[in-house]
Amino acid sequence: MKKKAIIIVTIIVLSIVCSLTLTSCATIISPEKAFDILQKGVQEALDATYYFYDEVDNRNEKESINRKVNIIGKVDGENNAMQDENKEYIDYKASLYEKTSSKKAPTHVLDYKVGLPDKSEEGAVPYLIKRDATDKSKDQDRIEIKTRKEMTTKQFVESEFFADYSLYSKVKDLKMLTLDDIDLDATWKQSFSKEGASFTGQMYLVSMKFVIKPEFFEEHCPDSTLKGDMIHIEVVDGKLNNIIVYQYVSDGSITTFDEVYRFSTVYRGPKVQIPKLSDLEDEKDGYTIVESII
Amino acid sequence: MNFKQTTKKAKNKAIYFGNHISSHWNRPAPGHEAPYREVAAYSVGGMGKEMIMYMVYMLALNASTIFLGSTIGIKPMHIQTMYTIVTILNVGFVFVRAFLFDNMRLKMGKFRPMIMLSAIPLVAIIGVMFFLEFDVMTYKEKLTAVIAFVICVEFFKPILLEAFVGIGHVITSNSNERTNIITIYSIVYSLAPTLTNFIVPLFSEFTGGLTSIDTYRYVILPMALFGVVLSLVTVLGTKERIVTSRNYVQKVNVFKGIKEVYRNKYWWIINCAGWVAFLEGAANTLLLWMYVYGVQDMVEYSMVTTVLGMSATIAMVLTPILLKKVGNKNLLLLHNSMNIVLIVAMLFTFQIPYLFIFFLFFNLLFNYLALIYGPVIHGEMRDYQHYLSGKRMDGVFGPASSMINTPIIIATGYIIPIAYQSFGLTINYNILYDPSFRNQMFTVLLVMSIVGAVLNLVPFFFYDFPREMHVNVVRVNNLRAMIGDYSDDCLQPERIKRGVDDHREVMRINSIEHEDINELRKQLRLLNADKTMAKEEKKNQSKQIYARIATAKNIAHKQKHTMLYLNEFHKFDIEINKIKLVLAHELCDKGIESFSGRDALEMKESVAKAVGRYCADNCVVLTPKEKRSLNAQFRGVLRSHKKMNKVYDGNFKRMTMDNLNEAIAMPETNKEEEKARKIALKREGSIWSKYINITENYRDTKMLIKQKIAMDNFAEIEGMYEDSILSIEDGKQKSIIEEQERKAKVVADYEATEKIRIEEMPLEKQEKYLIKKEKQNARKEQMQKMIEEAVATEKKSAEAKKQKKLEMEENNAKHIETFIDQTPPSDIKDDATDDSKGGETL
Repeated sequence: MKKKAIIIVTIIVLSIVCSLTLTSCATIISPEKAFDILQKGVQEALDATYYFYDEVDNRNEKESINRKVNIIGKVDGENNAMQDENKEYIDYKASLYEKTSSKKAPTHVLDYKVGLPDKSEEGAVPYLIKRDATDKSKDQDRIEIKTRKEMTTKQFVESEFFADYSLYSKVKDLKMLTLDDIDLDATWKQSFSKEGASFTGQMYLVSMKFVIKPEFFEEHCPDSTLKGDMIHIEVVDGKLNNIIVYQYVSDGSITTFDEVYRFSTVYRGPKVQIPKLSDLEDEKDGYTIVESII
Repeated sequence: MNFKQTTKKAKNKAIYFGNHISSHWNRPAPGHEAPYREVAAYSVGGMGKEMIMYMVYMLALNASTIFLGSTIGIKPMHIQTMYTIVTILNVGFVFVRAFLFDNMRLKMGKFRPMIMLSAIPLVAIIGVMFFLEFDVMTYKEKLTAVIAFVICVEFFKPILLEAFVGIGHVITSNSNERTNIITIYSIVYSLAPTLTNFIVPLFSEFTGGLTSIDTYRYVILPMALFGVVLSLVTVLGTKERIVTSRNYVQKVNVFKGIKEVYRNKYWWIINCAGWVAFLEGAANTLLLWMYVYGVQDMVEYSMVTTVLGMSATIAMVLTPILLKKVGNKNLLLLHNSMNIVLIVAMLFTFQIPYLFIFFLFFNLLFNYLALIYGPVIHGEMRDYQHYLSGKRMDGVFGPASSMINTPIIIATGYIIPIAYQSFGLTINYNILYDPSFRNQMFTVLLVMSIVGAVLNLVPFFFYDFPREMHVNVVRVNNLRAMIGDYSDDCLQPERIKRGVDDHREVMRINSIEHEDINELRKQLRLLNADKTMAKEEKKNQSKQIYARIATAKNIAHKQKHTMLYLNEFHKFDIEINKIKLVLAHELCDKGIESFSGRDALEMKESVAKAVGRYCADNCVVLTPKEKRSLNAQFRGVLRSHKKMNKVYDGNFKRMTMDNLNEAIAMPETNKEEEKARKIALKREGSIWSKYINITENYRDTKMLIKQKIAMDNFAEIEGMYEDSILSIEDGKQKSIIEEQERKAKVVADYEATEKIRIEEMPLEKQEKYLIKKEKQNARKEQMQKMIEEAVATEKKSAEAKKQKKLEMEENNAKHIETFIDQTPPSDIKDDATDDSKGGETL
């Protein structure tokens, strides 16, 4: 009797848990609503002061590029960037990491860090350090060049060099995207779902999969990273979170969608550790002072 | 007691324990079965297992796995799908594992070889995986590689875990000793996670953090290799002791075994609680996330985990005390209720890391209680299964659980990944750097944990397996083993001693008369109502009555559970068993060869006639349940008969184990002999296995006759008791003398070598050395004296305790006598009527 009672109690409880879970499963939302949420998320990304993004670009068959960009500073309780009396961001630091892996050439890494080390003395000057490393290959040994230059984070972030790496440059194409640019009737070959584009909401997550009409790229951005056979965008709690671009690959009998571009962003990244000057001057880990790095 | 006395007492105790351990290092202490050397080997091996498991858990298929999620970049929903695939495959794997555990006849035993056969492949597989170049792989390649490796790992991982748990169950058959061994084992092996949780994050600072693959290659892998070396200490340094008849052949049909397991109520309770445990574990990842994505200080994390690890040690020390004080059920309830309270506290404090860690410490402390009581409860549950089915089954618990749990785990396993996804944690784990998102996730996961903790508590309200019941379950198993050995004429003195001791203890408990609890309560009520009595006097008297109630309750409780033993002992007084015996005589009296040659229809008629005759002669009417039981028995025997004729084609002959034993005893000094032995073992094992499988039901029926004869001759077994005691004492003395001789030989050898060494020394050095030696000897003598003193003090204190206990028992007896003298016969009659209404008596 008791055994039966235990089983019954547990089954009831599990059914409640399962039904609660099922209720939190994805629900279909209208394309208009989804686009509204997307545009708000994109605008927030365009306005962001601090951010961290991780980008993997496999569009080129011969090489794969991974970029991680991190702009960070002190924030208040409401996550707003804090400024000092000179209207400068406090503890303002940035890092840029770019790794190019190629099937034919050795892996190449570019690593920039800018700002002041933690617990710096008063009056210390912020600097930019760069590490340019190329892996060992058949013809040459591993090469690593380390350079340093006095520079503020603001100068780095506002530089021409950085413009191509900024979050703005990565999401600006989305700002121009309207509902008319989407092929809502895309069939199986162009999208994952037979029904064509899909727009779903699930608690804090809004997920959209669709095909952008080729005209959009021709008119607005011929070199856009969003170019592909299918795009998947996720917005979390109103913030742009992931962009994944798929390419339709058909190899006779097998047809698949390959992930060719992935972009993930967040408005707070990991701490940026700027090495102390004393460490940089170390013979083994020495950085050459140069006039220009970027 | 002043400080000096306390210190002296502590010193004495330490010396006593030191001496106790060293003198029972190779020989078990009285009343124990395993020497301390084995306990140490088991514990050190446990550390090794934990080091291996640290690496294995890096591949745990859950959404919060850093290695699979952040390092390799597998999506949480894909991880869960992998888990589903692995879980389904595991249904097949469990049968293979069950077969390996229950049917392999290796010289080393049942569990020990399994450690070797699982630890080495596990580390090799994961080691290879760590060196794959995941960063140049496409997502599909990563996914394929991960699933292939994970499947291999999932096959071997449970073997390693089960083997260690299994050794804990069979290293001794004494439940109290088992609890103590598991406690020591758990305290020692928990040092490994404490160490790894400190070392790995600390070293990860040099290899790029916990998300870098270099940490796995150069920190975790070498540690796991060291773990393999340590786990071999258990393989080489322990023994397995299973309480079964000496001629008992372990052969369990997996499906039959599973059916038997499903009759075990306690197995159901433990499993039901497990079904909802996944929810409670939702918050397990919070601390790691807090440090990886929030605080971002892995050095501090390693310190925090070390401090948190201490909770395990405290819990392990506390568990045996709590088990003794509050019992299994209350401990289960305490653990799960405290979890609810502490997770609620964590929910309100997670934004203040140190306060969160404070509550987490206690939450872990309560969870770690299960490290000790879990195996104890599982061990007891398995003993209960042994009692229920009459067979020792260890391997079938895996398949039994897996058949029921797999669909549930698959369905519920998606709940947490769906929750992650609903809140936006899909492929971008970096989103956890965002404090607002992190806080949202923490709240959700903690609420899920609270729900899980509440649900987990429910099944344990139905758990009722007290220690006394377990003691009697083991007594029944011992009785059966003794009866089996008597029937097979292979009774050993230890078995006789244990069996007869158990029997006498049960009879002694049942002969004790205890006071009527209702009457005592009535007295208490009257006393409380009496307003004329002085307050002090009233207090003293009520205190005495409470003590008497406690004693009576204790005796009644013990007597209640001895019924298990008595029912087994008198099982042939029950009509259905008598009828089964008639059936057994009808079928088995002429031997197995004759049985195999009989006609099935003729057997049916003959059995029906015999049973009918018995029922008519004894005016017995069978209930439907009894009829079903009898039919099941008969159908089983008929199945045996059918198989015998089918497989042996009418040429069935009774087999003995001689050929198999010959194969086991074959020499294996060189490779050729080893090969020949292996082939012979395989051949004979297979023949024997077939024979055992076919004749199982026949043998079970035949066993009834043997049991009846043995039970009838129990007095004869009791008669062997004195000789057994003498034989055991002789054996002990012999081993003591052997030990002394061994020690004396070692000392003599050492002295001879020393003498030569001293003679070879220059004179000046010789003098200095001799003075030093003299001092050393003096110190040794002093130490010996201290040991003798400590032993004497401890003995004295033990005797004083014993004396006190005896006095208490005498006092109780006096109470009872007084009660009997004072109570008029009419009152007793009244109480008896009350008892029948549900009073707390036997």
